[in-house]
Amino acid sequence: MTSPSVRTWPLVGTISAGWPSPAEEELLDKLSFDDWLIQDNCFMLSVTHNAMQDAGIHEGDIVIVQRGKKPHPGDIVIAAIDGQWVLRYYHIENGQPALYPGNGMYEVLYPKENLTVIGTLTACIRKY
Amino acid sequence: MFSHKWPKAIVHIDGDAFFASVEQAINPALKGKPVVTGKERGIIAAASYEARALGIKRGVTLWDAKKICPQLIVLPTDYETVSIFSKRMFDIMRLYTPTVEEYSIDEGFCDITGLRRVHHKSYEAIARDMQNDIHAKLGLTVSVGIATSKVLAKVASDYHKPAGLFAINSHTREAALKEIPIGDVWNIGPNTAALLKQHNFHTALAFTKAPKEYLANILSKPGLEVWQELNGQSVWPVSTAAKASYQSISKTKTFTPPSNKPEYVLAQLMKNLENACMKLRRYGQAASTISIFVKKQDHSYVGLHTKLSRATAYPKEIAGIVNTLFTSIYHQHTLYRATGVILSDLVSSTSIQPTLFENPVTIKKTKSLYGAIDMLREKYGKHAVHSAITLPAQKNQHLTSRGDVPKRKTILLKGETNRQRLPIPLLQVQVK
Repeated sequence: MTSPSVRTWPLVGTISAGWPSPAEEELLDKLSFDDWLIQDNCFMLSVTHNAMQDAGIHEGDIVIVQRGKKPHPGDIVIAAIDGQWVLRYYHIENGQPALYPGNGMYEVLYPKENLTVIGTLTACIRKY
Repeated sequence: MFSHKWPKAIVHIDGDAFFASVEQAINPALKGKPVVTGKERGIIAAASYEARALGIKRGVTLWDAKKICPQLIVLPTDYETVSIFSKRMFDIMRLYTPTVEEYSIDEGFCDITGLRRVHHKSYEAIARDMQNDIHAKLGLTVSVGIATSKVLAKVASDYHKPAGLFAINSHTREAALKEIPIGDVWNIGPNTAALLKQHNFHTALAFTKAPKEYLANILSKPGLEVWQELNGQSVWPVSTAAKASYQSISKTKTFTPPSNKPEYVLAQLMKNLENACMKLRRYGQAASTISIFVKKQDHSYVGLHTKLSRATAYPKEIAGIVNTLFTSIYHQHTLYRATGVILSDLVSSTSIQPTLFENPVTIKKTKSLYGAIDMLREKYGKHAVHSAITLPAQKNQHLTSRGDVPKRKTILLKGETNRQRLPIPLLQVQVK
């Protein structure tokens, strides 16, 4: 849903070498950044650690996380593992969940008591 | 095939401890803990079910609450985040049916009559899907009632809070109403309840069994409509319309600490006037009667009202009158805690005629002035322009100390300003 103050950029199709032919140019429907990034089940999180830096997620970034969808192996998730909140890759090993870091300095985490996934990552945003 | 069991299917969805649940949703570390909001007021506005289990509920002072539970988590009210959650809750409801009525910030009605074929499931199952969807996407629970009328749907949603779901139809109606005290019924106020009890109707069921003719002699139309709704007959439809017009517009605000300074209390009153007039202009209306009131420390009210020589929506034209009314009710030794303004006898702003002794040029200038003010407000925010007399009231509405401002308000993401924020909730937990 677009608010009146949201700017949109027209997506004009791909550019091939040379001048675009007027016949080829086709204005597609406008997709706002709001609709592109946010759904009704999303929230933001400010990243404060670099456990996922190999995935390109750095301290100071804002990640967008969606709630309510079942995580698939390979998804980046926010999870509470034995009471601690982490941002990690979600995997299944021998039928049990395992949380992998995107940084060689961090360990793989296996839940001793419980693991709750709050949401899965859909975007990482960095403003310069 | 027409179903006599469900002539109409109306769903009432009610957030469970909504303000507190939102806090738990954005900070999952608070889940399962006793959480209350209202820190900036010194009194509990909302309490999580865990807090309620300890006897801490709305209206209890924070002082008393901390005595009962020293580990109680007390948070300031985060209206911004609660509004986002409220809007999302209604948007999720609209995924199931277009007929959604936003009754208040944390409850609403939907009409799902005839949609069983569309969803390929029973009304109860559709309502359960809505409930699960809200829980999955927002991280909080709501209680749901399904019935053949709004009043019954509200009774049903209240049946088994939190996270309850209950259906009342013609077969289950009587059992459901048997234990409901008459005063608990929606739209039966304390006066009507007292009256009905005098006639020996102490429960909702007893009330519904009374003959309509008997009630017609003691109740007015709204009371009879409640009777019809309780009997399963839908009288009040689920209304999707955004408010098209108002009977009256009122703005009231409490402030802390209470004050007896006339310039401050008047500033609060004028701020309410400006906001009420802003709303009037937004709906293209004007008011012919103005009432003002102040609330004292003992929670009693003093008010005055007056008719205006013609309808108006401009504070500039009413300010003098408000000042006069205020000086007649203000006492310098009284502490005040709230002020309010009510604008009534509304008419369309296009139908205003200047009175005989007015200068039409002045009126035209005032109209342009407020046209410009409204444009500035639209662009730069509600508080961008205001009259100087409201200056003392433009600071924080409540006495705040560090920790009394919602966490979200203290965080400014890159690109955000104090006025403009991203419209999605920010997770408040430390994530490694």
